[in-house]
Amino acid sequence: MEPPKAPSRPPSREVDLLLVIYLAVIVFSILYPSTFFSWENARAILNNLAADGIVAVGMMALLIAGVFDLSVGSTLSMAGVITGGLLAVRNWPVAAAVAAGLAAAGAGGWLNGVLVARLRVNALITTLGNLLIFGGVALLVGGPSIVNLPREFTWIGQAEDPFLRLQIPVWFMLVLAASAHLLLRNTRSFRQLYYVGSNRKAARLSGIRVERIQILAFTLTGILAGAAGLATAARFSTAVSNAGVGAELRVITAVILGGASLSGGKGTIAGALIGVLFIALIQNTILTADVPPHWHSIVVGCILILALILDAVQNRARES
Amino acid sequence: MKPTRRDVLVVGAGLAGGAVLSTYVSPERRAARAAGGGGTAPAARDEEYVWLSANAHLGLFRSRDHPALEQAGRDLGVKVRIAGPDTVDIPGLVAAVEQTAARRPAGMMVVGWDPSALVPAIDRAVDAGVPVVCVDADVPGSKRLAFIGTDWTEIGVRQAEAMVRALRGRRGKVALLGLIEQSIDQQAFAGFRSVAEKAGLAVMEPLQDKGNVMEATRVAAGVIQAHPELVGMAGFDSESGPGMGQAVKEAGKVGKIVVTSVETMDQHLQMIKEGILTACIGQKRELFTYFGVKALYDHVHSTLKMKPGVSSIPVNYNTGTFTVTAENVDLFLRGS
Repeated sequence: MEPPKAPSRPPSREVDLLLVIYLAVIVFSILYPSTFFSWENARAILNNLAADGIVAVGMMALLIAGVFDLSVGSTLSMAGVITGGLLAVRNWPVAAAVAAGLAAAGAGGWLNGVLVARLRVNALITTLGNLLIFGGVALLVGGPSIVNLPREFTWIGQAEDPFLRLQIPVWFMLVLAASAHLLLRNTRSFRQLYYVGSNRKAARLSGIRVERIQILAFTLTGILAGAAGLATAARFSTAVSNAGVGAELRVITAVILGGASLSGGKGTIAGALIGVLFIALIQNTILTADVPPHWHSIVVGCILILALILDAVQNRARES
Repeated sequence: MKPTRRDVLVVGAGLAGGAVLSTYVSPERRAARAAGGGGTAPAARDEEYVWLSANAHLGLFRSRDHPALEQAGRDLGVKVRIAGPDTVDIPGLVAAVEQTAARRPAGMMVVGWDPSALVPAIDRAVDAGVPVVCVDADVPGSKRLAFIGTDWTEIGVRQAEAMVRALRGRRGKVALLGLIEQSIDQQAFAGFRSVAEKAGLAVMEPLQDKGNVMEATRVAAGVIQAHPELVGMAGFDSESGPGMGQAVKEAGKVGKIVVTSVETMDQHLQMIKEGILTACIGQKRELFTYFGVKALYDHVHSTLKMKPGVSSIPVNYNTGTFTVTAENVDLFLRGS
């Protein structure tokens, strides 16, 4: 049986969110023409969302497959300090240290996958437990931080293209997202994620190896969280053991906002990036508009809930 | 066969010898000997002093506070222990204080992450006869015997003085970053304002950076773009400085925006060396835990005759600060 195709037209959530982003940019550009509407500001927003964007690509794949991973923030920190430690303390070559960091992150993701998909341990508990374990490993390996990372490594996070002056992690995120989008749309094995997320039992009956697909999704998400950790360590020239704290909630929020569903089977890679961009934009406009600091989280929370209510209302209208 | 008197004596002697030997080679004994408790009174060797904090294994604690705690244990020949949740979990910290007090340790050092939520737990411990001191951050409304830590108003004042010096008469806006809900940060903000506003600087409302370098970078980058008249930024948690420095570097504003911060970890020192940070105010963190154990030990072993209910140790131990700038950073980099 052929698995369902990925959505061929942009789903409504993504379009709605893009429209809101477009309107917000116009309004704030009129209100703050010299500060908000500048390439420097856009550059700052993009450079700061790259790490979350990279993780969001993996998280979207997981949520499409009907699972999620709360340990991505700790995986990000762990991969950063393992690579940093191998570079600064053990003097490993950059390629080997990067490979080791990514391998550790991938192994973490694989472990999550085996526990959740094969042993059927609850994803919330499994990944929450590994959030603590990987965070502990990051502290154990890195202490507070590992500094003096070599230039051959730090350029990965700091080098900018000569035209737009965007850092390499931003370009990596965009190329990664484009590749993931094409894979989800055009390859049979990646499209199976939708089938697994929509109806696990039916997917198994139709011959799809559900466990293998989910383990693959967890492993890829781990590797991408590791890549985000390496990009962060390279950008700061320092591997900080708490660099990824809170990343899991930011990313899951963005991905849900971008069209994913906690029950699985829904979402696109474009939606994940639009969700990350939307949250980054809200945070930036709050700073631009000088909203009092104690109101920041309230405003962000209210806007997120409002966006989801609007989406729910529209969905209901379409259905009726 | 009926045991003879000789058998009973031999078995009894063997058991007594084994008991002596097991006491000698027991893990607790070994730990006490490793702690250098050779010259310590036997009672003190069994005393346990517990340090409790939220985020108990934060890098900063691990690198500065914990080693000094263990050193105090070795120097005084007592046991020391670290307890508390690994996240900023105030109810978790309160529970840890209550559970530790129930074990009746010789004394407890509590980092006052919350000046009100910890009051009942500390008071109950003191009422139950467990002496408590606050270290690093105070819980002034509680029955704690003493506070050992930095005067955070001084941290704000020192940063403002360094910034005003570096600005050389330039005026404009100054942004503050930190854990804005923390009372110690609020004291520091007030100290900063008291100097900066007199020098004609416009100090903005403090911004939340959640004690995370990525968040600090994002917030600082946004503020830099939103406020072209920004001339300075001051940070009040361990991650503020590296985050602000990164944002200033990426915006190409090194030298144009003066950045000061609290703490002198390796990243801070490196950024001072590169000219990104102007000054960092260091806390003598090692003294928090070292003198925390000492204060409790002195209280427990005091020979002073005090009035009933009156503590035999000072109420405030101001551990002081130091300033690192481009002039003396090499000294600190060599020692790091």
